[in-house]
Amino acid sequence: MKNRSLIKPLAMVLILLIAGLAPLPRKTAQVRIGSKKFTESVILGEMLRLLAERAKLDAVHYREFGGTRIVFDALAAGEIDVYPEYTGTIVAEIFAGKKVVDVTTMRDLLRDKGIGISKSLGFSNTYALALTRKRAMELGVSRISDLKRLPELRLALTHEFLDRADGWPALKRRYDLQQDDVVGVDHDVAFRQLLAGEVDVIDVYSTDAMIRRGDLLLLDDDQSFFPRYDAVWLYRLDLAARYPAMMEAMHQVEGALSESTMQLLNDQVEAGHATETQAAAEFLNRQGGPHVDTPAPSRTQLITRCLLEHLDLVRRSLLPAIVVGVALGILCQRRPRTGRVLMALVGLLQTIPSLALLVMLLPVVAALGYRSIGEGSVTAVTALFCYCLLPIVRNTYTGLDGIQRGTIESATVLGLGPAPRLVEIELPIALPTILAGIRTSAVQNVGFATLGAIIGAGGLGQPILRGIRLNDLSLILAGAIPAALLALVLQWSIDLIERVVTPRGLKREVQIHE
Amino acid sequence: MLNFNAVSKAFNGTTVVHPFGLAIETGEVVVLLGPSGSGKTTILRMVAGLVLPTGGQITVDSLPLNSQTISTVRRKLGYVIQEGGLFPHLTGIENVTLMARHEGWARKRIEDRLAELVEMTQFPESGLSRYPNELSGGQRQRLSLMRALFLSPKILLLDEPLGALDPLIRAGLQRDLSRIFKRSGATVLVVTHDLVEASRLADRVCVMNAGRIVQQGRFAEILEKPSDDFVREFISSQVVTP
Repeated sequence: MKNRSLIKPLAMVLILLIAGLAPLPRKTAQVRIGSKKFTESVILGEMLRLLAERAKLDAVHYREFGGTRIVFDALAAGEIDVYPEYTGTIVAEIFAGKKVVDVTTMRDLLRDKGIGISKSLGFSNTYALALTRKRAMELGVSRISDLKRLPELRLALTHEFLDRADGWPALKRRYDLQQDDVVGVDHDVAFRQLLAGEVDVIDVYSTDAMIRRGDLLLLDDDQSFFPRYDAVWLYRLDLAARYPAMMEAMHQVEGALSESTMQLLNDQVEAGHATETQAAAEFLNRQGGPHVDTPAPSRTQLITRCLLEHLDLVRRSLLPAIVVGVALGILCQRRPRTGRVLMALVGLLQTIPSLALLVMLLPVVAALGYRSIGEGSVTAVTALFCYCLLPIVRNTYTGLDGIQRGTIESATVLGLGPAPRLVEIELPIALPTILAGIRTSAVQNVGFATLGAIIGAGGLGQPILRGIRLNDLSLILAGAIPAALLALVLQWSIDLIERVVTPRGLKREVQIHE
Repeated sequence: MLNFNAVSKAFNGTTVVHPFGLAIETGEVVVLLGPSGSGKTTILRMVAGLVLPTGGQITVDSLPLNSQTISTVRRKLGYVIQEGGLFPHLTGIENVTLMARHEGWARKRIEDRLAELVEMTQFPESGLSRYPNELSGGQRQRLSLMRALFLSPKILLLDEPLGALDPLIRAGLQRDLSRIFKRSGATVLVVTHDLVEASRLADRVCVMNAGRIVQQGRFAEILEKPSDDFVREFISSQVVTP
């Protein structure tokens, strides 16, 4: 008899867990491609995907899901099979602690991780100094060493280039440059100043879309100061055995992309003339071979898909967080000393910056054998779960702790044991407060879930990230507005649930009948 | 029915109830009368098992009270506190029948017992479907009493049951309480600081001061022959002299 009161809450917990943890059917692709979060990387990733499709392979491309660390770790963990990288980055960032003196060392270090490196794709994307072609003609400069005789030139450099030890200070020393009129500005600002003639020289990447758009001239690095940033494929060594056709496809691009070609592709995308897919397809079709087709999904289809992915992230993080959060809240209230420590820990989780939390979780999730990146990423869900906890734990604690002592003692003396008392008296009385905590978590979670896009988990953050990268406000809004609406709808739904499940006795304004 | 043998209580080294003995007969109504802080509520809470005695032994219906027997003992108890201690999320009827439903009583049996108690406590039937915050203070206390009596407890514990009520309602409920006690046949222990309440309800009054029972007996005896200055002063402070 006594256990009957536990049936309802246990059923509730079970429903929440099943609804929260049930996996959606997901197709597993044969070849998984990754790319970093800048246009060139995404174009190259799309190129790989199209090549794979042309080779009749089932491929998926996790677009722009992170910086170097995240994408490389995903490759090392076997979460993806291949992605575009630069030799300079491998030396300076991936093996930053080790002295990589030559290509053989690099190859050996990569092989230890089960990773192979292709030949150069044909271009190097390194730092370069640029002038407008017109100004270069006037001054008669074509090499960096020519700048030595023009100490009055005005330079606008990106902060990163100015600050890096291997950036401006070292360059200045190597070429013995005399210019003192150097300002640190944003990349876009520098470009505009250059076109307006307010400055003479800026720093760019050698495949920068701006080079074409502004008809810029890159100064020859005649003393080979800048390291090589040759574009290459980094791939899982086992890929060759699994899908030889994929290796074949990858070879087709090697050596085929010149710096000017890459500049053109970047410019097409950044100027909004083509999507990354279209730019990649156009290059492949021009190169020859079977025609690749690129049906582009409509904006509505794109947003619908992102919205569904977003809902999935929210569902899989919020529902389990309700179960765990309420349980922890009960524990906090029952054991005040443990509770203080627990509450501090949960609060601490909330303060970890999202990017740091994701990066910390990635290797753990991968080591446990779960899908750490891409669609259905457990990493994103775990991070969101962590952020959901605090409001639920705190409100459960507050709700339980605020119940009048007389009410609880009456229940005790009536003969209700701890479990039935909790389930039949305490939790129902605390329910409005607990629901308020869940509402806070849910609304927050919709916002936080846009971060899923950082590690390729999709959701409405994807159009936002892409919009930021391409400076496309309509794309940003296409992600941000549905996210805001989703938050509102969730808030209203929980308000409604609260109104339905709160008995009149717990509502404030009541009529007293004498 | 209810025995105290050298029972005492100290909180953090401060004695709030000095060792005392008391034997309460079946059906007797005993009132613990005294000012706030005299230790009367602590005695009641020890019987309810909400605080543990520091020394001595309480025996309820010949069962020694300890952590093993506490749940058995509580089945013999009904407990009513000042504000009623009703469950705010349950209607009147749900409050009253909660334990009977827990014990798996048949519906008919619950309905019969409810009708009996509604009649006994003079609770307006329309109030049964209301929530506690929709009832008046007096109705809440009647409801709390019904809940305490539902499983026919052998002992009824009341802690300032009329303390939060205004004088008129208080007077009406005092009359009814006395009748309800006799009809239920329960042994009753009431805690109050109110002289009139003690006079109306008690078969025996125990006057308490600073953790000790300083005088006990019928109300009239105490009024006539206060045992010391404290009792005399406590009485005169509440008697209106023209």
